[in-house]
Amino acid sequence: MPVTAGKQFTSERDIGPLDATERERLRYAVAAVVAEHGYEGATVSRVAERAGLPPAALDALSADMAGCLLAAYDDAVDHILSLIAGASSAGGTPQERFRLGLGAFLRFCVYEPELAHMCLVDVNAAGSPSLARRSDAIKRIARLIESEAPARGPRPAEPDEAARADMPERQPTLVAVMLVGAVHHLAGTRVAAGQAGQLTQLAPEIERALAPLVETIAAPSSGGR
Amino acid sequence: MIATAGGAQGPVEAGRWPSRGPRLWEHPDVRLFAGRHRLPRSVVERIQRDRLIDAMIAVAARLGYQDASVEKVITEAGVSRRTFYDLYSDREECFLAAYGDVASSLLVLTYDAHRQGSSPRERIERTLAAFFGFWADEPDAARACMVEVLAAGPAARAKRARALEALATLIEADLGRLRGSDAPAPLAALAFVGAVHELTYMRIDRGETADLPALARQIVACELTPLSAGVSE
Repeated sequence: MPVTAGKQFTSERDIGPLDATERERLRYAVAAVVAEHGYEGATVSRVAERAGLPPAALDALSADMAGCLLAAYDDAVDHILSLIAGASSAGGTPQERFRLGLGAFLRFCVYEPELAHMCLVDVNAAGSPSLARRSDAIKRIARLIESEAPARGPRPAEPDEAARADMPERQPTLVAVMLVGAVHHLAGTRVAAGQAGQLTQLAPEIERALAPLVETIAAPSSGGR
Repeated sequence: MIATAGGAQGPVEAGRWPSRGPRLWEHPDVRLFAGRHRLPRSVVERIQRDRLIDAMIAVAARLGYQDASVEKVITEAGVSRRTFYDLYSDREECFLAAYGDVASSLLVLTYDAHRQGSSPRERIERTLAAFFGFWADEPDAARACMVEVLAAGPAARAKRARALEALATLIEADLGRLRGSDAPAPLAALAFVGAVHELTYMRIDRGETADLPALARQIVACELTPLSAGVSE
């Protein structure tokens, strides 16, 4: 998706939190710049130029490229979670909800290949903080899958960032982590090889590959193991 | 008698990493770094290389790859900066060599374990046991090569991808059989490896590396038991 021109900023723009539109522009700009130059060649000024933002606007967010990458990653993960949750909510059975959520994620990889590459491959380049963010994202998606697995009932809302910080971390179940790990690896392998376009065609085969885990997590007595 | 670890340019020895025994420099007859010695140059280079690889693994595990500078690695190894640059062009090359050693040992162990199974299910169970046992025995290597490798650059991530692909290739025929087919199941095997990798990563990241062997049984229950039902081997 191209970065839209949007409103213009002056170098004297007040420094403060970016609004939703600006963060979206930042997200796409980071992904595009990293795709074009690699993480080592990516700079805050290149990102700002691509996003149509003055570099000063990014200072409030981060002073360096690692911070930009992590901010963009966090936004993208929120986006992915909303896509999965939105799609899976239409399903009647746990298996159907998983299939719909999986389809939404695979379509994201196909239609947003630069964002997918940033989330699945490039984010690791920012060192220890990015590895922690990656782990957090895996757990959030695993907990979402768990919440979709039982028989239909109200799904608890995903707590916001401030609420999560005050809560003791609940570890996702083993099966949910396995499912996320399997999909992450399958998608990551294709995305890294520049073959993201194959993923929607592979969806039925991926569903068959994951069927034992889906059946396990959907079993009423399993408790997700 | 000193048991050498092989020639400086030789291939990685099977099982050197997890059950390597004492290093050459730990032998009481070796006085490599204090006073005169008569060891051949190739042996000295091998010793220095092993020390640097051990040091890189230890420092990357303790501080993270990004903070594993050449300075810290040579201090840990007790070798000179010049020796480091005689062997490696930079810290990335040293890390790649360390990762290569560890991955080769892991693959040799898992392939050996796989060969000893008499049925598809048993072969996968034995492979899992070897995989988890390897990391549990080497917690520093586990953190460096399962967690920190992701932050070690594109070449390291490519090596990691090839190692995971080799593990998937090992079990794809077995997974195919368990799914009722004579054809291998490469995509299912990649998914299986990804699932196992993520679980392993999470436990190592939480500092629970010693508990990894217990995971094998749980994974078999989740992934293989539903497949095994009604499938003759």
